[in-house]
Amino acid sequence: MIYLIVKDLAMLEDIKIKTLKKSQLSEDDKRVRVTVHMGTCGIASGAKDVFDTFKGLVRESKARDVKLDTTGCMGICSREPLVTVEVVNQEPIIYEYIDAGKAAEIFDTHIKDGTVVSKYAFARGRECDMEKRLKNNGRIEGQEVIDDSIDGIEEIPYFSRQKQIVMRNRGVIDPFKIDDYIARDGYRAAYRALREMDRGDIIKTVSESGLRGRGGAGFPTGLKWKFASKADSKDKYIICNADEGDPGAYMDRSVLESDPHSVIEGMIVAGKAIGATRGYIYCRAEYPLAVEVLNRAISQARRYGLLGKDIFGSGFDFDIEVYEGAGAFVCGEETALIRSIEGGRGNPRLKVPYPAEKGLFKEPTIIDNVETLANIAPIILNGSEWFASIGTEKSKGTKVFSITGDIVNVGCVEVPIGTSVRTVIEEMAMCPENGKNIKAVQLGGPSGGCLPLEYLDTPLDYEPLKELGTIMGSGGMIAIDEDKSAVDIARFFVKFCSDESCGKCLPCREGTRQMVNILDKICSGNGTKEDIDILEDLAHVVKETALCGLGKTASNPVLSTLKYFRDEYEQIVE
Amino acid sequence: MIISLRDISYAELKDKLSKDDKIVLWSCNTCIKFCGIGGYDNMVLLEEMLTADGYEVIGKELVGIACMYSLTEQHRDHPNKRELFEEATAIICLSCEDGYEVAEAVFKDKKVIKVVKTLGVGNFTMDRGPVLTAPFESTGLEQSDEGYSYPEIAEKLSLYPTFFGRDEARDDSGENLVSVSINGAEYRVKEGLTIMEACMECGIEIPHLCSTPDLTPDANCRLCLVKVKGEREFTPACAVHVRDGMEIITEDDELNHNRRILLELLLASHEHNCLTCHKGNPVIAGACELQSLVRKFGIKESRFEQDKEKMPVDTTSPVLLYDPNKCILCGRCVRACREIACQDNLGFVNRGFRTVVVAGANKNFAKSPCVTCLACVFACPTGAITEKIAHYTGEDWKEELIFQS
Repeated sequence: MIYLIVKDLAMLEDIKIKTLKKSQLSEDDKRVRVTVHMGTCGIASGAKDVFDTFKGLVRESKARDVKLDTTGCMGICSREPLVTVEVVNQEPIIYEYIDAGKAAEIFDTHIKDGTVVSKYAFARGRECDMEKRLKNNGRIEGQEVIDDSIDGIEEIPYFSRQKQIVMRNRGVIDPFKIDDYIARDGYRAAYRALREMDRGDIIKTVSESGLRGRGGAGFPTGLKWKFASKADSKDKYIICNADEGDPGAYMDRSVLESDPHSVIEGMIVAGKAIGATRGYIYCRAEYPLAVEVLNRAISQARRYGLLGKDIFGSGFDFDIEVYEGAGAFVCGEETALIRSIEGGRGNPRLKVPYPAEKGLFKEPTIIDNVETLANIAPIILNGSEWFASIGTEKSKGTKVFSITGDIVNVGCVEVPIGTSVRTVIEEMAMCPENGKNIKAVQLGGPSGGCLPLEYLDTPLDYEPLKELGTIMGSGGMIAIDEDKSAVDIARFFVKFCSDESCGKCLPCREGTRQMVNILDKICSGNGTKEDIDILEDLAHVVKETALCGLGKTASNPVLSTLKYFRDEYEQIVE
Repeated sequence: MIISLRDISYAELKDKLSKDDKIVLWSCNTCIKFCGIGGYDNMVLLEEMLTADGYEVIGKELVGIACMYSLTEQHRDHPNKRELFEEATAIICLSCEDGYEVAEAVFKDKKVIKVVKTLGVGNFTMDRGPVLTAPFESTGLEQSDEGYSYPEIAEKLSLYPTFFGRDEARDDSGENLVSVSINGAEYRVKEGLTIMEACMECGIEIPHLCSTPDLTPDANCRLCLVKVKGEREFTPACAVHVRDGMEIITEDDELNHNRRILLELLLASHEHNCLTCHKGNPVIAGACELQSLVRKFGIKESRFEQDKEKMPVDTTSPVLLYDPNKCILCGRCVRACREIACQDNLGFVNRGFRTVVVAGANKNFAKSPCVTCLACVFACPTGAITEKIAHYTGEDWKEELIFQS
């Protein structure tokens, strides 16, 4: 088979026009499009059944005018399986909690008879039309509103409060089709970076945009690239860190599963910026769908010549390989991740020399988080000023959070940096559930700390959160209601770190184990006040002496709960 | 053990070298180490002397057993070391004559220099050091149970009783020194040293367990953390090099408190029972470093919950005894096996507090390709890996009349 090699902008445009034309609904060809949202969250709650049901129904009724599509997660995972039904010239309707029976009902009533099944409906409209809808009072030209008793998507704060950069394509494109991505202006940033910009321009644009690493530490991305670009070596590497392992965090999975090409495109640009010719995506093996989607995306990109030799005729070679992790949380730490790819035991090492000087196979390497890389293409396309206009003074752009816990709407939200925790938890996620009050919000997973109720107005930004003893982290946000014990929460996270410690350095290996022992003792009711003091002392020592990020932050849950909920510890021991 | 003595002077050694030579120092880690001619410290000394005299030393290589052909080949062909040996033009061999012959065969295209004469077989005694008991015929010496000490042999056969002395080299004091402040006092130390080495030279000891001069630093025991002005976090003294103007605090209440907690954690990790430990024996490999630190910090007991789980002791090796219950996971044996023995036979399995050191990818010593070179025994700071021959066998006390009125 001979494939088309994409060499210039005209060809990208050509693919875009053809794809858009193909997906256009019309009265005399495809009249209806049914989109089943099949991220891991959807599949886990039964989206495959729903998809098969629709497929069976279409086949049985020989409905040639119905087009059946799949996409990734659309962001509100607690309402999965979600299905979007779009009839030509009508507003799309999103249905929630669909199963095979409901699917059949929708097929008969909505698709065949044209009446919306409002009892299952969640919202009207598509998320990607949000800006247009907000401007025109919820109307889109050429789309008839069938049933306005259903909320328009712009009327739901969960969606209207979001600002989409990283997740710009979620719920719209089929992650298995590169053409869908190109139709949403994909790979134009790569074209610009490779053909119209030199290394310095790219790094300047990224630096000026103010983008900071989204893996948790918030190191300026442009600066990191600058270091690596200056390093003198023929072989350089770029690694995408997709070893997301925090309990309650799944932003990266959502991005990889619904929009893999945005990460690949970000890596191509980064590769050009630092002069790397090879990239790795280190993805945890517990994300089988993400790995499958990525591998498929990479091979499609290779066929189009978007990866491989002489991309866009620019003379720049770049290729990407997916490397599956083996289940160790600590491999999300840069130096451990590098060791793991090299084939060694995934143990961290001293950070000096930095990976940007001596990283993978002792060559200069940059490691960026999935979300950071997904930000790159829009920055290159829209310019640094546009990006810098979003966010706060010190931190620009948006941040994706995966919100879970005692709330109504569980899922991934992308909000401008600086949005308050209260907005996310109370307005968007709609907490509390069943009338209970929320007590605290745990940010940053096991490395983070909790934020009690009185600090809920804190902006979501690196520095203000750090001041309060928690971190922005990779973006896990867990709401905790008043029934939960702070001690239990600390124990859960420390236990997690203890299990995931690599065992290399003494404070993390033995310190986390002893913290678990003491917390067990306190929780079982046999603890004393002295135990609390020993725990606090030990937590400080572990934080100060551990070798890598995992150990240094492992005691944060203990320290932050001791800071804000010491009375709960004391109540238990008394 | 094989007894060898130095037979060339420093001046004669220099005559064999040229200033263009790229020199690698090559030392065996067994017999010759106890003859006082080999080992890491001597390589460091010789490197200093040669460098001061303007020679170029590009590397030092400690070899588990230098008279084993396959082992030396492995060192030469190791991916991390290949470049070094390709570049080298001269190899100074701190090993017995057997080791020298092997090195000559392995490095055919290089100048291999011998510094010793091998005289026979002997023992190591606590009071007289190494003694020659079974001399080769060629020496003309009689066999003797008592043995000939080094000064005796040196005199009889006109050899040198000790290693090269620093006084033989040109004095290089004042060159390449940097100023550092340690605990408030100013010192001038050699450039390129780690903080720990620099402090050691100034007579200041920093507690440590995972580092030893022979091996690359790993910074995992975290006991050597010191404060360096301007750094956000504590700095591991074993792995970070001194810089000019560095201000170092090696000891204060906070650091010592941290160290005490860390040692308590170690004590709680296993039952470190000194009564039944073989490390306490005054054998050549030295005594327990953990015990000495625990005593130094005046720790009576650990406040943490004692782990009572017992792991099986590996007695399968004919030479070694490995007791994982006494292991503190400092990784010195693992690094020694990789770097000195060039074997990669030891490694970690499992993770977190379930981590253990095992031989041969989770087998026991007998089933693993262990070459019993003892590099791990010399490296182990506790009684986890000991040499069976050095164990106390429970012999009766010998009566000896000391004083009678």
